[in-house]
Amino acid sequence: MKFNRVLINDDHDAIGESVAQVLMSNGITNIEKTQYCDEAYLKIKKAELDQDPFDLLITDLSFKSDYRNDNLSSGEELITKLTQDYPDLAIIVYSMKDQLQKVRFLIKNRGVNGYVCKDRKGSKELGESLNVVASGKAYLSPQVCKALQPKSNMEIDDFDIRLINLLSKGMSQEEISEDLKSKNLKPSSLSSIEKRLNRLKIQFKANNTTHLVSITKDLGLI
Amino acid sequence: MKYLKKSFLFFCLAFGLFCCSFFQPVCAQQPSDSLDYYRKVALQPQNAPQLLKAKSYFNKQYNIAQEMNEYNLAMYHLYFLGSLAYKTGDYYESEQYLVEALEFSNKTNPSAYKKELRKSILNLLGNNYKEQQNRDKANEIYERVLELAENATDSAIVYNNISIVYRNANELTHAREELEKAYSILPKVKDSLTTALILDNLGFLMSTDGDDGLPLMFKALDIREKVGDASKTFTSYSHLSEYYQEKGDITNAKLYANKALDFSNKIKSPSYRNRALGLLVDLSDDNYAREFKVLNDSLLKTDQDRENDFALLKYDYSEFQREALESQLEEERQRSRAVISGLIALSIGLISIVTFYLLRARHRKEKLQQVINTESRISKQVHDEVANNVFQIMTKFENDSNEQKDLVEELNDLYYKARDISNQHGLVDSSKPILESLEELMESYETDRTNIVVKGLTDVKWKVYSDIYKTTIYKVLQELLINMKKYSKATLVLFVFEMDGKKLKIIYSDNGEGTDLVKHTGLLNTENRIYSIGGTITFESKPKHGFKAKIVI
Repeated sequence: MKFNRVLINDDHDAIGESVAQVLMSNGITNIEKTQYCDEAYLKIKKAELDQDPFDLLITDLSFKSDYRNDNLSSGEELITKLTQDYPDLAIIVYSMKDQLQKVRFLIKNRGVNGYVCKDRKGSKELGESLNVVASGKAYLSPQVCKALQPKSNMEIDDFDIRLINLLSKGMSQEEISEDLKSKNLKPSSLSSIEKRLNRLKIQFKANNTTHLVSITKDLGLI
Repeated sequence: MKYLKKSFLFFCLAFGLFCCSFFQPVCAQQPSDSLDYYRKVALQPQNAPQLLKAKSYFNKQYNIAQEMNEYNLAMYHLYFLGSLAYKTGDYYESEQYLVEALEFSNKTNPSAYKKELRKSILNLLGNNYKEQQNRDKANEIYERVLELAENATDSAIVYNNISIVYRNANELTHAREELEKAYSILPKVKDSLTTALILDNLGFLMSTDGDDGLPLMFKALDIREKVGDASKTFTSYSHLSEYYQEKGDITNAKLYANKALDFSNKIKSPSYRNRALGLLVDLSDDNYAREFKVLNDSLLKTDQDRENDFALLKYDYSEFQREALESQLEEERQRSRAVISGLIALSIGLISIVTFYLLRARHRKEKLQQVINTESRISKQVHDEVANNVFQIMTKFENDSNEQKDLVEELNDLYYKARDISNQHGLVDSSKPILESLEELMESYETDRTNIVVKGLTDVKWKVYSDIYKTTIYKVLQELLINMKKYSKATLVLFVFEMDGKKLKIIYSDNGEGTDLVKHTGLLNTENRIYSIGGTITFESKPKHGFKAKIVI
């Protein structure tokens, strides 16, 4: 599949122009441009009614506020409305924003097909994204590609701290297991303690348990 | 005239029985049988032993009422105690009861019932002063009762009392004037015994003045006989006897004196009997007896005068005590007034301080909100106008040629800087839970190089914090992270969130380069933000030994 008819929605002329150039260099010539989200929505709706629908929207997220009363004041609002009304329309976000959760939200909850970050490699990545999205996959710029990976585990809890404290007293994992069992604390099995400690070692970038103790001590955790 | 003068003493005694008989109890919850009985005893005692019983009864009732804080009831019983003491001639004791009752009346809310009771108490107090020959005090009190008087009966009784005060002072013209005032309103007086009282006394006075008071006196007797009141009928008989003796009609004088003796036997009161027998002795032909009577009367009079002096002494003493008590009360009142004004001043002070701090806090919050608003506006402007334009220029050159590579590189740096400024100062999305925003913030600073570990973030009850607090916390943590990214080269960052009582404690710790804590703008901003929401922040760092910050909000 290849995109034939594309709408570019960006409030900066020069950017819109550069996007158009990327599209043209990829053999897409049926291009229209808008500078406001409301305008973009109306254009897409009209095209649908005229039975000449767009098959791709490339949009920014942030728009200068207008003196008119905007119904849709941000790219996110436009996307939300479009995914309800025209679920078949492909959408690539071309934005300066690189917050992971925003990207994750748009891809997972709003069905956005591509997310390209505006920077000096933006044009190149945008070109790449056209092919990837056309082939039915999602495209993300490298700096936000973490958004699709599972959320990294940052949290630790009181139990973790208890484990490290016991380690710092020079106890072995077996002794820790016994200690926890004697206090009726769970989990106390050797394997789950091992699992926890391995995770902590990764989180604290520790080579071994002694290292883990020394690192956490330096950080003031224990 | 000599009989008349002697009779005054007697007159006073009889008079006491009339005090405030108009007073009717309004206490529905009282065990009315015994109360009714003793009330009658207290107001119109028909014999002496009754008085003692009545006294102990009212004493008990008074104590109960006082314990239950029933002030009106306590007043009511005190009044009867005062009345009983008055009847037994202990004016000092009576006065004490009555003064105490008046003090109670100051503690209760005004009511018709209380007004009525107060009137009776004052009247009785007036009688006490009258008995103690304190004419001025008695008249003063009676005038007060007169002010309170609501009906003709009340007024008539007070006029009668004032009249007696004058009579005791031998000012007969004044005494008659007062009674004539009472007589003029008699048609309006509903109580027949009161009517009888006025008629009898006026009639007696008129006849001593040479006018014919006999019809009035007979009318009074008629009423009293009809009512069947022994002691009052006795008074009528003795007055008639004295009248006839004055007129020289010894037969009639003896007749009424004998009738009086009959009634005194009925009443079983020695003083009544003594009076009746005294009348008969006056009328007897026995010179010895008459001489004895005259001498005895004069001795009695001396005794009475001495007693009165003594009573007055007691009264003066109680007056002195009362004045002392009053000055003590006044002192206490002034002291409590001083305490109250002190308290008021203190409250005003406290309120002003609290208001000052509230206003200042509100002002600070408003300022903080303004700062945040301005920041986010500038942030958006930097984003839309600076970063976007730089990006536009960059894309232009990128498309043009490859010769401008260095320029594009520099533009790219500039673009990132502008975007970072925008990101740092942008509005925190308040539609999203702060927990998510904070997680996102931390996640965005987690790279291949830097691990971020968080403890207790999800346990914080973020709902209790206002938006301005949450925004501030977000910005502060963001500034710490930006700082970390820019300068520290840290590979590990630890955040610990914990509740320390009602305060939220956030500890930041990294393993980076550390600083010598010469504060750069970033940290100063961070400090200011925390202070503006009333929190504290402390930094701890040494070069090569990481950086720690402790925030308490």
